[in-house]
Amino acid sequence: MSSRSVVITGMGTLCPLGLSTTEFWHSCLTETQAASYIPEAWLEYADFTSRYWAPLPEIDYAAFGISRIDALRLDPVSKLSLAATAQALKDAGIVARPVNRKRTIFELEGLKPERVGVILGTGIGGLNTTLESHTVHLFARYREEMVSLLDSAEMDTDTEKELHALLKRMDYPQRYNPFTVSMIMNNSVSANIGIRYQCKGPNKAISIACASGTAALGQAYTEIQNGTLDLTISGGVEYKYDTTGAVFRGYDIARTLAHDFPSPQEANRPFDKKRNGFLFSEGAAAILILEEKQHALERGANIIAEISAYAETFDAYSIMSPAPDGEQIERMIRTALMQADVKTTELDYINAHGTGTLANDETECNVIERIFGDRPAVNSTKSWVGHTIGASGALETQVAALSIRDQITHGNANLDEPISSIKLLKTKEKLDISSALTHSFAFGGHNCALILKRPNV
Amino acid sequence: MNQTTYTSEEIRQKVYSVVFEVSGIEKSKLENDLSISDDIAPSSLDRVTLFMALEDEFSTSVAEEELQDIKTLGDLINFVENKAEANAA
Repeated sequence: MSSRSVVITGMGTLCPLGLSTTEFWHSCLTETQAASYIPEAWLEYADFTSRYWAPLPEIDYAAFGISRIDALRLDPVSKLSLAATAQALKDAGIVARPVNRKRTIFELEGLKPERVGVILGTGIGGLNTTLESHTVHLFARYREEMVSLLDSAEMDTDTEKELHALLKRMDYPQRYNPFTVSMIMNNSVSANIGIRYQCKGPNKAISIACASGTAALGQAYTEIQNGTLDLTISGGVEYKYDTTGAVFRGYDIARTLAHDFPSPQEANRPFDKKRNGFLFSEGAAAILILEEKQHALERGANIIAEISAYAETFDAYSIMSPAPDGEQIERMIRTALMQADVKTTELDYINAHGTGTLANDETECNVIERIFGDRPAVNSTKSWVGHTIGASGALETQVAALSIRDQITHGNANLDEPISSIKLLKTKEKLDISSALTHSFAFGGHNCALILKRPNV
Repeated sequence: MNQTTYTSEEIRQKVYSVVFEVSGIEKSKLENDLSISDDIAPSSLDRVTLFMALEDEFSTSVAEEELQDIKTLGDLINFVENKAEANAA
């Protein structure tokens, strides 16, 4: 057993519930819903079953030190991860000193670059750029031909007007971005951070769908515990918007999204009998600074919570459904508890995967009940913020850490008729939390779990 | 080029702003004989970024073959002015 402990010393968040960790946490505790109707423009392209999503607020990236020039070469997913990293470093009390005249490269004061790593999770990486570049590639020449035809051919006024209107609707970037490849690759989310902050330890992006963020944090925890690193910039990020709703359509056509409720605010209801899917979220970035405990103490860092275990298993069952028996999820949880030296009768709080799909919630409740009974408090952060896929596990780890710090956690949105007798919170509750479990299950069958504890300092 | 008509001085100042953003060279130090490849955009990626930023600033597109004779900041400003005139005509 390693003698190196791993603690969380800083956090940064941009998500539909706020553009800082403080704002996000406040929104969770004040039961703020992120849900609204999907953009009307999407309805031109397909007939969707679900009409709900959780959009991001407008973000001024310049305020996070991301210049107009940077923005030309970054997919929104990288902009999100850079912005949240800037917040997290500041929260951790780490000063980033500019070292070039463009103020785009920074040295992290007091840290050895080779001992700092960047490990992020993302499900789809730079998909927004993929779609935009592909659209330009596909249609640019046809558009030119249409313009030429309009200029040269004789036609009646109505036909001309219709064609002009059609051209106007073919709204896509005018140029195929020369940086497309570096923008779409999944590792851009971590590489851009490593370059900006001169972190020369292991740098990678982990992509296992909804469990990406948890897995990234787990890898970061492992690299610190085994002595490779002293500090990591870790977490999860996702950006799922496109101008036509094509990404949304993928989830919608697979019948995974909440649908047919009187309003968006009633649609997202994990663990409730009336649930019928999850709330699609535009995206988020949740960054946590993980640090070796002694290293944190020596630099006077504020310790938020301790990570005591990481475990992962794989269902080997289905590409889009959890195995109904929940056996691998159970094995993962028991492994994590053993690693953390926490008994099933001792765990105080579970931040659930809690998507709101029929399959997930039933399986998850069954597993929790047979391991823990009704002892630990259980909530789903997704019930407020929606499902941010690759960022979700990291957002939920933030909630687990903040719940430990503040000894309070949020309730479950729209929990009118719980499907289980486990202790699903209906509203926020003050709790005595010494240890917490946060876990994620992903399309494909990947299961990842972290155990957090109140820091012993 | 977008429909707005700029004066020569406005074009110069806008180009200076873009060059500053791309290279970090203070505007007070920008002179016509500064070399694009040695001073302003030493790497090929910097050069691509410079022309992308100009496209963005002036809402226009620049073809690769138009860039071959642009060696200095002065060449760059002349190029942008000529493009503005051609688009206005």
